[in-house]
Amino acid sequence: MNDMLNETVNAAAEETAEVIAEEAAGINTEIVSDESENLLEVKDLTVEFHTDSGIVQAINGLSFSLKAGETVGLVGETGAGKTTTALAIMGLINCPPGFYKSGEIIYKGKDLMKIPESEYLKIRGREISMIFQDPMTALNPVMPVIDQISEVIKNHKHVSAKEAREEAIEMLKVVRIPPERADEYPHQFSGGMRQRIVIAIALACNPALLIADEPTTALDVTIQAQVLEMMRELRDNFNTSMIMITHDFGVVAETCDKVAIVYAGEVLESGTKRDIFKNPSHPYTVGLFGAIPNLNEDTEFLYQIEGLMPDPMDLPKGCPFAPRCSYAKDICHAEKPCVSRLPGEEHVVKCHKYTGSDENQEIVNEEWRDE
Amino acid sequence: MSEHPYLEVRHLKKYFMTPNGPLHAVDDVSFTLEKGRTIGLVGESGCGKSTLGHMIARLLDATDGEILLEGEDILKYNGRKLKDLRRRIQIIFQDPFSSLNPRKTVYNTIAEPIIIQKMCKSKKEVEDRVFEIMELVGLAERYVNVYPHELDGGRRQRVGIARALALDPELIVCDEPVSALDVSIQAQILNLLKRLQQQFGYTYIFITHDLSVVKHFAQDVLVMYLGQLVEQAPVKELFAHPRHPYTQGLLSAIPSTDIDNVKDRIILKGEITSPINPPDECRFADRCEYVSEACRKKAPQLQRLGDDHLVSCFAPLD
Repeated sequence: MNDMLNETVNAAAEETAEVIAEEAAGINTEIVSDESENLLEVKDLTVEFHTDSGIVQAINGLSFSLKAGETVGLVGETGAGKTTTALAIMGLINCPPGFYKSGEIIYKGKDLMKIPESEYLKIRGREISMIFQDPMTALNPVMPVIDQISEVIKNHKHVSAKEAREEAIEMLKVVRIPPERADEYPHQFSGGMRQRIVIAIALACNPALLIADEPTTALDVTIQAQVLEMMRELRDNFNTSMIMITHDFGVVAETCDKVAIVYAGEVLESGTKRDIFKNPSHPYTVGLFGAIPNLNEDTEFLYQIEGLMPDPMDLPKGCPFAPRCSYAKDICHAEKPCVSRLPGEEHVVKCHKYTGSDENQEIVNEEWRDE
Repeated sequence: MSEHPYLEVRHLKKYFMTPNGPLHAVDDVSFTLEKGRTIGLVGESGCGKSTLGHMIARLLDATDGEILLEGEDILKYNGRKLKDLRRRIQIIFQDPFSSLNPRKTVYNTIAEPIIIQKMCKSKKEVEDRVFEIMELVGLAERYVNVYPHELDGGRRQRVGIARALALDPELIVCDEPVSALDVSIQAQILNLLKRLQQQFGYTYIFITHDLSVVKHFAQDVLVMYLGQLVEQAPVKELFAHPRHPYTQGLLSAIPSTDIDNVKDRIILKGEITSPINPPDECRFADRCEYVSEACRKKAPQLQRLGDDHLVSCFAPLD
């Protein structure tokens, strides 16, 4: 009798084990299939801020995607909506005054806009984390840096305070800060070191996706070179995907695989780094490249994009760049251009120059070619 | 007068007294500048480039040394003479958000120096002058009565430039005039400054940390490190043949937009050290990959290599 019971128990245990194994296998295959697909897909994101003086249309149908291990650069000027996009992905936009009007943010097959805050808390910092622009204000001034790193670890992993501290010290070593300085406060560190601490906090839980919002803008070139080098190294070691928000094409050239040019809350052009750098097609992208002083060429005057980015409270009806564009025709002011594909793997552009206004043609519109 | 260079800075020093000892912000800097030219002053934050600029604009007193403008030491000026000097030397500040008085309209900001210096005889003349300057810097007339907070960064910087130009100066110290601006706006401002120089023959001291801007804008470059001059050369020469290891590292650190030629970059180790009580050795020694014993024994002097190329290093690079 006992033997029989034992057998059934054993069989049951084996079954459970098999089920667990199957489930695990299932999860594995899912992860594998995830890797070949997009880790993150932002589709037609529209975010508005309702203020006393009117509606600020910060993001207007912005889309881009990112595969595991890739780095995408979001490039644009102040007020283009780069940081708002990052905050939207992190679920950090206060509603109100912010409103997600439409769109999807799909991370590992899940729409982040539909999950409850309790679930978001588990993702934020663990799965997706962010490096903020200004290392002077991103850290808590009255808390030793080691506590700021171990706080993230304690929140996301079931470890004791001591273990969290040990892990945090390991992170400090990773970002090359001497562990004996662990109990110092942010003001005792230089700008470059503070930014490295912010990076340590962001990477403490080994996130799958890292959003870096202008991580080197506040730093000197030599320190920028050090930080970028370190970020590249860490990204490769941890196999982290990255969204690099910047206005500096040099930083993009050094770190990114793909580029999206953001203007007035839209992606005007996107593609691989090669597409954008070798064959910039949107007049705005071309203008941006022309506006940078070139180290290898001598020019008397820089190319100048006239005017300013449109007021997000009062966006033009047609193409948002039309008022500043030297190619603009009537249609540009009247209608929004559709997305059209260009030669090159993923090269897409939103410009009437490349499409007929009626049809989403796949060729460059002849009429515009030599203007 | 003509035997003197237009501007000559001689052994200029500025020490700030701190509880931990004297901070050597600018330590024995000498250079000359000819009229109508642009000299670029580059270096990392904390190297003393702004302090140097502010001393030349007489916004800070020097600890020691001379600043000769057409042969006369402007550091000795005071009273009447100093007020006259203000007409000749003006400054454009880095941050267009904090360098304008938030309670003054664009008109009052630009008119203030004109009124103080009694440049115009009547109110009408002041008005004409303000509108003339506004047109010159590309500010539409409708902005005349607005306050700085109503303007974007690029237009604010234009107001800052207009204020500097109001007195028709000769020498303009530009203290990082574009570093707070977006690239497209940066290009507009740089083009504007260049056009004004061609039109009026201004002499610029252009302070920046952005080497590509210097390459585009200046004819000569001074590279500063911890309050000292480490290299001086015409811009093309400096970019083609940097002789000081620091300059080399600085140039190498600029992220290149050329995706086909990925350069082997030299990444400088460490960070700028403290300028408080610096020891008598090469100040760059701790970060220099070519450091030798000689560098630790005493500080190198600026030496001439070629016509206009000056380097302060015991073993300049080839």
